Amino acid sequence: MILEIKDLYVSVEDNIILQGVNLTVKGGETHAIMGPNGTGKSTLASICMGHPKYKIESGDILLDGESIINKTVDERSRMGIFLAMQNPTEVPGVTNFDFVKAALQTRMEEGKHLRVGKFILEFEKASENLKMGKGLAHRFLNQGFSGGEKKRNEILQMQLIKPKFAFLDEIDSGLDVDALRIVGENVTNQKSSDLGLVLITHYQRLLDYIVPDYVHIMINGMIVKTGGKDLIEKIDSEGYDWVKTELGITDFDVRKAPVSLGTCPSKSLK
Amino acid sequence: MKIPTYLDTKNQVVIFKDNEWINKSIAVLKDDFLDVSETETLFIYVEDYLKENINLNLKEKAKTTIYMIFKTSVPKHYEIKINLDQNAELDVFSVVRNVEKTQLTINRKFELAKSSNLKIRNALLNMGETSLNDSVNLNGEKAEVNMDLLNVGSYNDIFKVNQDVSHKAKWTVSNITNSLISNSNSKLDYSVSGRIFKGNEHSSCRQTNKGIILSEYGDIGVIPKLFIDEYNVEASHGAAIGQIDEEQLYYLLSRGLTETEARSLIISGYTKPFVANIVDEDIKELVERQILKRINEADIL
Repeated sequence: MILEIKDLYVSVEDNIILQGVNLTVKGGETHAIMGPNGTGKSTLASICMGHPKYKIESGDILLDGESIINKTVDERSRMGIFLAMQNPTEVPGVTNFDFVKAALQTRMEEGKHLRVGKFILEFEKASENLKMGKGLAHRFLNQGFSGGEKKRNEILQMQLIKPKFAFLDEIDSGLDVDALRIVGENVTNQKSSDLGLVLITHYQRLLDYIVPDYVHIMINGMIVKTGGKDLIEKIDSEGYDWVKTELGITDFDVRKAPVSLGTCPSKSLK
Repeated sequence: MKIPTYLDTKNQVVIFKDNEWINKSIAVLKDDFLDVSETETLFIYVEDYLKENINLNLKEKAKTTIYMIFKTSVPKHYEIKINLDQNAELDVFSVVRNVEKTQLTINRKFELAKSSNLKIRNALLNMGETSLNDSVNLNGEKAEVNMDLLNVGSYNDIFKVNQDVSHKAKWTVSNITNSLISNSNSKLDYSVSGRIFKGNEHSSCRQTNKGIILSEYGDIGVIPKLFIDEYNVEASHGAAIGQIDEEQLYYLLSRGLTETEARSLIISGYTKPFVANIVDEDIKELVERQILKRINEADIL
């Protein structure tokens, strides 16, 4: 199991956000990506999931050696990619139970059906583990959820869907201390050689609970430094300026993607 | 007389068909009013009834659930009056089952006395041109009405719906929730009015309208109106109409649902909460089948 991001350039609305990102995540590994606001961390997660807003200018994303950049969002999901979103969308009228059931059913071979009894038990257990309360199954998807509940609901989905690679995009934002511990413990319990994790975060506190194997610093759309846990403490105490100084990085305006101005009229010469 | 098989097993049925009506219930016909006070659950089936007027009465403290099923093959117009005496409770569920394109007009007038409680649930899932006018007068203090409507339009269906609630006493409550789905060339035209007259303080009048347009030429128009002539009241209204939300679609796709499955699930978010409140299993199944048919027969998925 391996997810490879190769020299990836990504733009949104003609602004180039990612500028040659390289990252390899193997099953069982946990990677943390940190960096200042607006450096492309969430863009990286979204483009791996296939969000239509983002455009790949060049580069590739490979899952077990197969390029997924031409795959649709749902195909990527069924291949094993999962994104726990920063702002999970509310879907009124659709219950959590129906939603997760549909997500699992669609992964089954044609003609086979989900064993509902077993699914109910698994759903209730995951809900209990994440302290989501007994009524979660019948609540509408993310509607009326607090910020913390939305994040825990993302982890619940991850537990039930069992992806191969999961991006957790600022899963710690909006969580109080207890909720952070619950999320951290649940994600850690799910760690196995069958799951590669990419954590996107600004804070050390999440990484106290979900210990990463690798820490990457992303600045200006590039991964500029990779290290171990020692990097986290330094970032937490000193910020990112030392990285910029050490590597000679200057802040710059977002690059514009080349735009065609049209073609010149031509005349054929006799 | 042929009636739907799902009504065969019901104990309390009144049938209005062609030029006659058959009472297979303990409801009593008196002075042109069908007194439904003694029935706990009553099924009223109306098919091409030649007379226009149907009048129902609910006595003091009576508690009744009525399922009204309309089926029409020729243009029809009905005038229905329903009176609720003090402390009466009525839950009236209506479904129109036109299988042919025709014109149907239903004008209903509800009069509510003190502390009476009315629930109106309308399922408009039929073909053709339909005009529904529900007018509710909250005449007595603490009278309350809750209106919940689901409308799925397809092909060239036209629905014109007028909902009008008048608060004519203090401490009266009204809540209107409309869930509207338009596909193909269907047109859904809604006028929703709440009126609180002077002196009827502590009243509450709320309207929620949500609509989803699934095709290029589908059309939903809602005019939510409040006419408030008293200061010490609560009132709110709103209408949210649009196409399938792209972020909702992306979220569902990101969990592996195909686009067809995701769209279907989002649409079910409009229909399922309505269906979940139908108690009678036969009627629930009927409505579910009809929703599915209307959605599948159209080119939305």
